[in-house]
Amino acid sequence: MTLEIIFMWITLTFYVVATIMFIVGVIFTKEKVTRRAVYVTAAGLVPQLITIGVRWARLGHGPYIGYYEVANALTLCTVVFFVVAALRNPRLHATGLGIMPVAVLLMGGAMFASKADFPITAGLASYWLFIHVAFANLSFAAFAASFGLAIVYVVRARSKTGVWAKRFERLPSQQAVDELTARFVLAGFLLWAIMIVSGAIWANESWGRYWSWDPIETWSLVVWLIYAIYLHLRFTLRWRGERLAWFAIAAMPVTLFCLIGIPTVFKTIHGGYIGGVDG
Amino acid sequence: MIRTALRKILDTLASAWLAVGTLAFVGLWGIVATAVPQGAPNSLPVTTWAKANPVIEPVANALGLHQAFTAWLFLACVTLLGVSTVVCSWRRTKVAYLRARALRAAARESADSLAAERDLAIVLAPDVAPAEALHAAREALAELGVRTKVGEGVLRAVSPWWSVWGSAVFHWALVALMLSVLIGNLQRSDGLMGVSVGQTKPDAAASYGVLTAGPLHSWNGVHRSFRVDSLDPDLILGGVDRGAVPTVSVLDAAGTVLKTQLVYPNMMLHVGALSINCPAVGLSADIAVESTARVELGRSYEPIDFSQTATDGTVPAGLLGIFDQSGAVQMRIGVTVPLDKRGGRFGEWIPAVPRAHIVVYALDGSTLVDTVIKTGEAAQLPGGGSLRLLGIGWYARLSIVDDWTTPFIYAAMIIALLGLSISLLARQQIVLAAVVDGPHGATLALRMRLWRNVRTTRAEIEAALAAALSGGSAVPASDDKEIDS
Repeated sequence: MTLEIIFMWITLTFYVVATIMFIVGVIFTKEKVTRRAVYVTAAGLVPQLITIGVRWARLGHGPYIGYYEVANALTLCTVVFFVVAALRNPRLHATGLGIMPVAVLLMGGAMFASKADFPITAGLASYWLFIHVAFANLSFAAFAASFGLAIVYVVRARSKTGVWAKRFERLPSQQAVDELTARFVLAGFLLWAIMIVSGAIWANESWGRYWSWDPIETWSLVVWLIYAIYLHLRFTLRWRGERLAWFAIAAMPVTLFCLIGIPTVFKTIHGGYIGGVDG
Repeated sequence: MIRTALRKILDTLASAWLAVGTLAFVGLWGIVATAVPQGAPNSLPVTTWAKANPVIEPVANALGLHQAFTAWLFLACVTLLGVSTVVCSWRRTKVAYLRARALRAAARESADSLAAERDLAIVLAPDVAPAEALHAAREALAELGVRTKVGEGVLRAVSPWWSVWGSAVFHWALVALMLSVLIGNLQRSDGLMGVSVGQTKPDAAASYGVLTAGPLHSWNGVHRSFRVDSLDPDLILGGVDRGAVPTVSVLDAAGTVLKTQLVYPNMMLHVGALSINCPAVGLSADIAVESTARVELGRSYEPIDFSQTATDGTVPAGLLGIFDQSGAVQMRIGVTVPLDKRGGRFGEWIPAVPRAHIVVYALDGSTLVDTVIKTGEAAQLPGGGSLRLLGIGWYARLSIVDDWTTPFIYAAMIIALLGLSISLLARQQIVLAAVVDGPHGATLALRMRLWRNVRTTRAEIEAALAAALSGGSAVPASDDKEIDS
């Protein structure tokens, strides 16, 4: 347990340092600092994988139950998504300014949450658990990436003096950022749909009903509908630019609230994955 | 006139703004519905909320927000969304059909026909030999992420025919999903049935404690029954505590067992359209009703639920009615089992000394008899006769769903995901190029249809090819056209 916590703090330190480096690198147009921030972020993945691996080996299940584990998994997927994208396309380094604060907030929250050991209960003992949770994490990572890109787009678009345009000059063109944002939303939309479908099939096998308008189910549909609206605006109504970027930014807190907030605020049969009781 | 009106209606239904509006409404409705307690108007959460929010309550009530997902406003909006999706799917199908036809034609296109129907012509620079032009064009396109094949003098990057069907398939699958859910709700039955260990109950409306059946559900021809063979109060399987687990059998009309298995979370019993789950277990009192002469008149398994807040630690799942010869109810009987306490909590298992707490109520609710009896003992009923406790056992509360649409719902969801994946990932493009003789000399004739998920743009391709082959500009063809790009 102690080893896990130590490595979690190391991970959080890496991510906080990386976030500060992204801020400094972008504001003071220090390209080298921004590039190194990506490497610091990537380095943070090592202790995070260790802490997840140690806990997995000790408890016999992946990071599925309790806020501590859920936030850890969401952060891991988000950071992996960002690091892979940034290493493949170095021009995306500066998007870390939008993405890493989300990762730090999630990790920070996890550090103050209960780290109690929750066993796999009868209701959770299914291979659907892995599928359902994996797609939830992946879709969140894709939406977080779209959020980071949308922030970059808006900041650059609203820079009247051109200062921020200069700070983000290494980034791809606004058109390319707009396109990338939409691509990440598309990816997240598909992954979220798989999460919903796998959850519906699992619910039917576990509880005897594929949909019961439970708050988590309702809000996961709400999130999917919000991104469906984004896609209709983007691809059918040909919206582009800042107003669509604002839409992607506004959608992210709803997604986060669906995954973290709903089981905390509302009474739900899904509450177990945050509270750590039978779900 | 009618045709024009019809077209206007169809255009409205197919409009993206209508889709956006209905999607937004359903989303907002869902958000509001989670903030307002759901249930019948007289249920405790609803009445408590109504008292706490006297200003909003009339509005919530008028809109049907307490049963938000069956409210007329919600259903009307979902219906509108469904109709809009049908019209939209039809239009997407027409586009996909035209594109698929264009893709098939492009796969067979020859250099001659391309010369006759080109979008663009790039005059080759004098130093570019016609034989090298295709190779140079191929490299230029590859740099833009367009991978091509060369065959019969034509450079091709033609997507497979199925690549254009993703969006149409996705939308049709959503329509199929909505229809399946609608049909499912009309014909399904979903109920809770308490069955004691050793007891067999027929699959009939009267056997259920709680039952929701769609208007099209029929009990005709349903001649099966359910039996709980045994119950393990604490089954550990695969290293996981599965809780109290019954073994359930489904029998046909002749009493032949169709299927038997342990039923626990993630291990439902499926027989055809039937799914059986066990959300809870409780105790069961085996009671015999006897005449004054101690002749057994009837027997009943009385289901009893655990409750940590009840005096005995249990509450009756229902009341047993005692009828007179005309069939009128004379009195009602509630049976509970006093549980053993351990560590300040009631132990949710059969107590060391099994006893039944019998309370007989008159029709006006007053208590006529209140007594505790052990196994083998009898409680005297007012007006003669008695209730004898034969034993205390377990009962399983079975959740039984009869719905043949579930596999169709699964299929629609999976097809929707496939369609969505194709729509999001598959490139939809036609890029054809061939060297032909034109009025300006040797030229590269080009045809392009860049529909979706393409890494480049028309302008980038034109510029790259012009730079690679002519060092000059491209000449647009007079018959330049696009199919719904």
